[in-house]
Amino acid sequence: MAETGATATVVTLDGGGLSVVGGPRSGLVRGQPVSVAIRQESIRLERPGAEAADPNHFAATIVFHAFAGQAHHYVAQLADGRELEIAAPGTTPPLARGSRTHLAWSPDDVIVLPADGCPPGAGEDTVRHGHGWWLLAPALLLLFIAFILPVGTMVPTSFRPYVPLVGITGGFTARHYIKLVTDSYYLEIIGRTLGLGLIVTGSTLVIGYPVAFLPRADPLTLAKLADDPGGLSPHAESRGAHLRLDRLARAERAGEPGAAGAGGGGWCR
Amino acid sequence: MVPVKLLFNFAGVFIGLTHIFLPFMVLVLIGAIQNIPRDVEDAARVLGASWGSAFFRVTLPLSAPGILSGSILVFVLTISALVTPRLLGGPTYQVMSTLIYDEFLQRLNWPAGSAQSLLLTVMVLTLVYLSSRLARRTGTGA
Repeated sequence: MAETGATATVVTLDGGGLSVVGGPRSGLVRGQPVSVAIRQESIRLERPGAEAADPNHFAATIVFHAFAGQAHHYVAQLADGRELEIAAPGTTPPLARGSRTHLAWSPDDVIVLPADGCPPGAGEDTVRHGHGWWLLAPALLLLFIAFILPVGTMVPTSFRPYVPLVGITGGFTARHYIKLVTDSYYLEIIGRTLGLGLIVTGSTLVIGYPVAFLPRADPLTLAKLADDPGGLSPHAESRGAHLRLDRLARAERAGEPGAAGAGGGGWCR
Repeated sequence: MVPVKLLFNFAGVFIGLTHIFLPFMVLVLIGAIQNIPRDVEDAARVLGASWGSAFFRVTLPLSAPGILSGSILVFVLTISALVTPRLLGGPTYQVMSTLIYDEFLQRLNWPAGSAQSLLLTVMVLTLVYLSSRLARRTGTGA
């Protein structure tokens, strides 16, 4: 809820217990629902009992603390249970978890947005949803004409009786399917087809994987494998690092930055 | 010396199909393997893994999407291959595709051929569906 005036915007938080004072803000009407944001670096931690110069001054309890070198990351809980993330400069003395403190921030650091998330005057949503399906239409049409239609035509045919020397007759029968899953002749062919598929897949995988891996395995690794399959001596290791740096440097000079890190592809996941 | 039989039996069809479909597998695998950053292997080595353990615990699992999609491709191509089994398997070593061909064009039994085609289609579609679910489950997105 916003109440805006010439000098300040007062926002009452949900629950009614607390209110935040921001700078003057045009384009808001009194009582309009808004969202309030404060950057975590803008929140100051003050000693309990310190006098409040700022209108935004809240008692809080530290519920999480992590030191990250240039900053202390805190999570502080306000009186109404709301939790705020705070990044305090790393040079400040740390506050232990559970300690009580005061949070303060300047009205200038308060960002007030209308509750629908759009800045005022941004207009309506310009992204149109639900029209992406048309991009699939050519592919779906091809799939329909070249696959679904011919396969679908076979469905009724497969239930027609077949009389030798006469041909396809009218009527309905599931004989062909039943024969397919009971006749040992057909079962053998089905099993043979699946088995052949599995074996050929396995053999192409076993033969193909080393072939596909070959461009990746550097000559150094191959040489090391040939020399000493059990492990590496420290000497060989340092020599390996040296050679690899040399290789990277050469790749850089040759103008392929991708070769340096991402395995030649230049594309990191 | 007994001549090795390579025609009209499993050995011939197997060798022929492997020969034909090997490039498909290799091309898919090369793409997958080259997309693995070399850094992760280096990291594994730096952290003390041997070459073999870096390969089996880092590189091989990361190439799983490629293995899966390559396997599906080759499997589907193999069970639907017609010309190779026809030429190398002859009339005696039948697979489903040659059986369907015979049913339609030689015995003129279209209903039986249709039923066999639909069974083959359903098998392939089931396989593709299951494997894509597997890929989603393992978070590899093949």
